[in-house]
Amino acid sequence: MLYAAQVATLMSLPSWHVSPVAISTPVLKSSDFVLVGTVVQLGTSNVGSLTGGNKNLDIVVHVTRIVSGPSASGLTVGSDVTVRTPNALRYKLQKSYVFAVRSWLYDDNVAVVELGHDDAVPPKHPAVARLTGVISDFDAPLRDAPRRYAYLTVAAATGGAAVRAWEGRTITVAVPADSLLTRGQSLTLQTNHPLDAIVSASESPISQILLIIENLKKGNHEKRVASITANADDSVAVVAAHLLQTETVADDRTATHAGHLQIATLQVDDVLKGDAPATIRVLYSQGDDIRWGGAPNLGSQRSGIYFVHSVASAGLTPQAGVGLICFRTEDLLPVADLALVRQALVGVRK
Amino acid sequence: MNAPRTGAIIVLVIGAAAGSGACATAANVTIVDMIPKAASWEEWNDSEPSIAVNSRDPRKIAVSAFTPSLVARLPHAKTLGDLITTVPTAPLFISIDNGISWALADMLPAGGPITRDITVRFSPRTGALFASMLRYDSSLSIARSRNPSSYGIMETLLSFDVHRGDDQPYIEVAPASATSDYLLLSSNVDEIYQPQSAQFYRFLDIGGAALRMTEPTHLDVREERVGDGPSIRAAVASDGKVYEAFFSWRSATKVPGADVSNVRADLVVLRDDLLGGEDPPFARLVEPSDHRRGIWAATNIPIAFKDVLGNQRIGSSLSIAVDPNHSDRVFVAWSDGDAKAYHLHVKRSDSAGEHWLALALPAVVRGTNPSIAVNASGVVALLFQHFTDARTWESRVLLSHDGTFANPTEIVLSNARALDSVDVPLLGDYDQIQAVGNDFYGVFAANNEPVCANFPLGATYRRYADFGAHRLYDRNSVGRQTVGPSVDPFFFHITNVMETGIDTSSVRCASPKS
Repeated sequence: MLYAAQVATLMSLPSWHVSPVAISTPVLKSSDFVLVGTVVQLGTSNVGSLTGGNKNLDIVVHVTRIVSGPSASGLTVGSDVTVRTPNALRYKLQKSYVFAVRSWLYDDNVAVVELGHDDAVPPKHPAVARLTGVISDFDAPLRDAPRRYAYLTVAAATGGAAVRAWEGRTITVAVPADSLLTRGQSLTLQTNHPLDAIVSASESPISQILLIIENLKKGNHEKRVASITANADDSVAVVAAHLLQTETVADDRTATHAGHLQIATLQVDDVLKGDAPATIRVLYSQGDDIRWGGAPNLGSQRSGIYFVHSVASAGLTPQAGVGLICFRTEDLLPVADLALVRQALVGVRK
Repeated sequence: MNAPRTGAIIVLVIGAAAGSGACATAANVTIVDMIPKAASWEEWNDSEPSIAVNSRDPRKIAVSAFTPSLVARLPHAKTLGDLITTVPTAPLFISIDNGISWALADMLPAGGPITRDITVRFSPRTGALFASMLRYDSSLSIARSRNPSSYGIMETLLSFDVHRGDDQPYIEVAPASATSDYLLLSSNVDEIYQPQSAQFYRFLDIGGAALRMTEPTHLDVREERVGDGPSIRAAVASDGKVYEAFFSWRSATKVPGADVSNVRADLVVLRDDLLGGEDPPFARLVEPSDHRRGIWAATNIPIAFKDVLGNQRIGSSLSIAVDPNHSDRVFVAWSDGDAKAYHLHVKRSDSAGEHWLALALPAVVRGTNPSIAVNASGVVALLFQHFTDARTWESRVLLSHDGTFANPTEIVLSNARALDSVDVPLLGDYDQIQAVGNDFYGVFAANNEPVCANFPLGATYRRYADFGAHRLYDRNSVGRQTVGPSVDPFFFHITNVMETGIDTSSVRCASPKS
């Protein structure tokens, strides 16, 4: 174990003290949900398809809090879920844990697969935590991820002894993807709620502490920014432009998934990423097959922000001499999103 | 034209549901809305389903559809733009109790939250499940689960390059030896092989991490053709005969930048007697008129490619089935024409594909998505979907006990108003029926509004529904929210098919009460 680290979780709702950690940064990044719950059954399942469950692996957990996860998941506070664990014998009935899990099975109830867990018990001495530092870097963003990960070098820390021990160390701060943060920016983290969690992490190669700032969460908006960032990373250019004309590609259309490709000629007003001449020609699809589902109709909008990709990224070859394409839903955004896009482009390689 | 059996379509609804649905399915037809209770909140159009039944243990069934991972959806997700694209797996519907209940499990390594076209099959030798699918990026992939009821993520055995432009991969699995299977894959590779895009592949699965592939076979030897329709379908007999069927387009109007139109096609059937391994492969049937491989079961048929029938794309509707006990007896079903008159047809061959006899079906003016199967007693079942004058989609099965369809037993599974679709197909380009023993198992996509009158033989919903109020709910507790109607996959199971008529004495509609 190269990096003995600590993970802390600042939670805005009922406080839980989390100790010895199995939830590391990589585990959190690969999880669909982080939930807090009480074990109500051991060695069994409440999901019919699991036919009683695996006595060595399955536990049933009463969910008391969902720390993170998609809002439309069907996983709700108050429900009982089956957790497929590495070893059901590690858990105790009526004890609370924090679980990082991935989605697995929907039947009469939900079953999830544990990726990591920590004990969760009410803290004996709740404390208010305040951390001040400078952001040294960001982790590479994940497309559609609800969070991004910033590395904060802590200059000052107030709170309990464990909190003060973080001074001078670098911690990971998981923040909503649309948080207005940049490298070198000073950041003060404060919670008006008791500090929830201090746990040891073992796998984080960079930081010693992971903070999940839930009270900054802004719903689906955060996912959108992260998605725009990822799309920009994958784009040849991002431009604000307006439409000059469209024309139909005279291609052969004998397949159901034919792209029904059109060419849009765009007058570039501003280059937000990459290089682009004053006018560019870009392919887009009017195909009706599911392969092209969600593709933007460039001909229907007079101006916008265009995320331009190479045709190869769409599995195509150049058509009519045009080697660029907008083919994803997010490849055309309204001009009104310019500030949002600029925010998302911070840190994106040029 | 022949009338259906008297009484077969009599609908007797007893105690039409009041409150939360008390209406069980007729004794020998079970119809189930497969969306699980825990996913009652979803509003996606789960279209284009395919089904696989484990012949070693028919309680185990797998169904695929255009269903995205539940964890990838933004609230009220209805279009592909509403999905979180970083989710790497797509779900399969799995039942272990003969289709009574269903789990939706993220098992497909799709490279995204949803697959494009997909078909599934069990190995009759081992019970392993195989999926041939167009991944999220549209590249063709084959995946395997040795034990699908463990609900683990399937192993990817093979992935083709996205630039091939595969369409409608269709998989069959047949034992190659005591320790290996052949995976027989039909696919339309229309971006690199046009006009001869109908392709056949045979892979040997010896249980390892990869497949052994033989050289692909061009099923269409006629280089002068315009192209091949997307649907390439196969039927495998237990004695090693493999039949392949596809539309070879003999003429069409091609205007650059517009869909091909005025297609005239031949329905070509080929046969190989060694599971696709003869040399040369698929050379058993020779068309007398041009002395080339692939006999024309029907010729010069009109196809309005990508015409729209009630919000549903048409233009390549095809199925083929072989009698499990008489490998020379084979049936093809297809639709042709345009949206105004899209006619269903069935032909039968009793000579292993050499000669074909047209069968007279009850007239269906706008019928699509035919799927045909033959059970162990030679009963033939034809599933199709009919767009009615009342702008409803009716999903129907015709059972023919003598293989003539002269006096079929008719089963209306569902008849519900056509919903709107956005960028996900309303019903999809296919549905599917399969025979195991004497039973028929199938799946179709239909409007999920909980109206018992939509299901003349009753239906059981796994999701929360109120058949009295005609409403769907996200849960069944205080604070529940109404969920909008959408297209769901519906499973059906027909038993006692040797009996005449359909038992309608206990038609009920049901949904979870808690």
